[in-house]
Amino acid sequence: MRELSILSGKGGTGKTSVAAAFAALAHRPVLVDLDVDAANLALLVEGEPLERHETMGGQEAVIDPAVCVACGACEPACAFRAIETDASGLARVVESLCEGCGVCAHVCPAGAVRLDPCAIGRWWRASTPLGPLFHAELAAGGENSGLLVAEVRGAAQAAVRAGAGDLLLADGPPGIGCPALSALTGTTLAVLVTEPTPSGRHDLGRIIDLCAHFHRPAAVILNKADLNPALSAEIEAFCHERGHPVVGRLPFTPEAMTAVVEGRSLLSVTDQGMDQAVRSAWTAVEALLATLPES
Amino acid sequence: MIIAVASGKGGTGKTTVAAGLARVWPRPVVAVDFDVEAPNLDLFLNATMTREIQATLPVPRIDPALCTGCGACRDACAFNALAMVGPVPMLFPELCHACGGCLLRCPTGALVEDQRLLGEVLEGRTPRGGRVFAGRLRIGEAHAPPLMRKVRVALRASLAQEPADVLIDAPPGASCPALEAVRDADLVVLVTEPTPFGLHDLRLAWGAMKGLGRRMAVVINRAGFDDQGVRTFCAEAGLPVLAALPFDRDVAEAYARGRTLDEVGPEHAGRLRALAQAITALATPSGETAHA
Amino acid sequence: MKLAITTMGTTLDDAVDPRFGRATGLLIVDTTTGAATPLAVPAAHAVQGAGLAAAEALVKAGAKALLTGAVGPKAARALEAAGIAVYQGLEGQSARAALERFNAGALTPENAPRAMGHAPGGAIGHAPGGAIAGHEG
Repeated sequence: MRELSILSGKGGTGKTSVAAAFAALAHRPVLVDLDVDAANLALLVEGEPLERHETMGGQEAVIDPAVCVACGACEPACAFRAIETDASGLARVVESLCEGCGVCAHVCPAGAVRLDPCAIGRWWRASTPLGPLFHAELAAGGENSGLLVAEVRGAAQAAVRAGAGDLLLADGPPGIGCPALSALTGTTLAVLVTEPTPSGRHDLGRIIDLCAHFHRPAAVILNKADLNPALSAEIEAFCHERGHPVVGRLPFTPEAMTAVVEGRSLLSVTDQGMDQAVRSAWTAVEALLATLPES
Repeated sequence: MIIAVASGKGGTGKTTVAAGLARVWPRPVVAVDFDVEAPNLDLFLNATMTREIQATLPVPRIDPALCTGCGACRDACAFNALAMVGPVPMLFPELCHACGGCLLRCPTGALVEDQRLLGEVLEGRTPRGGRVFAGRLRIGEAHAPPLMRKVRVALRASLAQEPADVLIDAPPGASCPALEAVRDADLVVLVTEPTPFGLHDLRLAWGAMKGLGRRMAVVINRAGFDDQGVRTFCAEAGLPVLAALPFDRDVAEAYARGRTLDEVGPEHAGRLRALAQAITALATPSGETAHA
Repeated sequence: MKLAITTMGTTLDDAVDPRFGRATGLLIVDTTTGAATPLAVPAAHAVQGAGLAAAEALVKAGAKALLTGAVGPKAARALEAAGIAVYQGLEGQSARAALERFNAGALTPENAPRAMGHAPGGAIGHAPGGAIAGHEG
């Protein structure tokens, strides 16, 4: 199985727009949105939800106000400052800040704290005109430990293995933390979408370090390349030095933004040659993928 | 006064707004970059980060001479950071959340506090002398909130010496790090853009943050496209829209060159100043009756 | 001796699961009698540390070897400390086929992790053959 993961250290570089355009160009792709914090691929590739699954993980503390004796023992014991007490001294857990360690339950003399299993999120399988789509949503304030990413990615990988498609195309999470690690593990090729801005360049360095750390081949797409030609040249030199091919240079055009607002693909944007630039990037990515061993 | 600039989606212009606001803020202000996975605020503020302190998290260490191998610490750990695969538990510090639960449970005092490196707390100043704090997460470190808490400790110490308003550049998203960044804010300014992505992610961030009881407001960045969806949502959620910052090539180019919004032109600087006024008016205690 | 195999089901006819801590099933096999007993995967849905919990389960069950797809760096450290020999890269065949190859002495133990974990300080798994699989062991 071959898997292409679109990543970017920095958010908002055009990762999802590139992923959606590639989805339209790829042969029989299975799509998966691994940005479970803010899954957007389904907004560009509309489909029909077929299945929904809850993903449980971890636990959270719940204090029974009827049992709480307002002793105040739990509040200072919580390393995450997730417990608040009201005017009468009764303790309450701020759900979104609780990490489920259980220390409050241990120190409570009254047995007022219960540890409930919690849902970290849910994921869907949907059918779209471009192929099956798997996407997920983290529960509000949930910990993005990578478990939900691993789960939705596993479901998509299983679909490819079962013959639902020829290529797993993943729209990855931003950042370099657990979710990005979960998305990168074992992928065939990472495509890093960046832009010639100080933060784009800085974060590209961080994500390239991560790929190197995990021995993952990576290619780079420079979006809005003409915004700062000097910085674009610097980024290209940096990629060359680190051994990562720059497979695409996309122009800056407000038409791209209009396309996103109207839910259209980058392939519909002809201004500044955007459509051709995306096609040529895809051709280069496809050629690169063919040289890499299946995983 | 603590103002957090946040967004559900990355790349909506959160840092642009935070940096621009810091530059036109009418009172002394400290800028804080809580996006420790991808810290960039100092780049846009041209800050020189002069202090770099290693931040560590207390994790347990096992004294095999005192350990009886009872496994109480392992049973206490909700994060599977201790494994009983031999006579004494084996510790995996990278999984530890530093809750202290194991230390509380060990009956023989065999667990002592050790430290794991989280990253660096950075402190510096802009060319105009404004204070800037930031955190830089160690590559491979999984948890951002502990480092953010360390940045907050350094920030508080500095504020105690020299009081000022605080402008926080929060990490994007709606999970733990984003909530940790805004938890003490008097006002959370959610930056969005008039795209289906922007609206979807704004809704998620608002949904996650409303449980914290913070006052929230919205800034529409890259305005000039059809923003009816965002405005309708804000009206329904009771979120005031404080500004609509227009999108053009000049703004994008200035950002690409590391310049801030106020440097693009006087009309942009004027909009930022008006936004700063609207924020301070909304966040001052006198206007706090509505949500308190 | 006893050994453990990660499986996609509950019998020796099921394929070897490439994952360790998040495997679908675990079988404990007595190599002298050939009897296979299913063992619950203790923490397949844990937020973290699934591989460590599985390593503990193997210790409790008295397994001296593990046949699987790939283990992550943390599980590898735990299995090493427990003295359990690890045989990786066996996905894509039935548990029975993997067991027969083990019994025939055709497998080589490899305790270094093949799956990726999150610990940058430790040894990061990179399969010598190029195949990298699994998450977190």
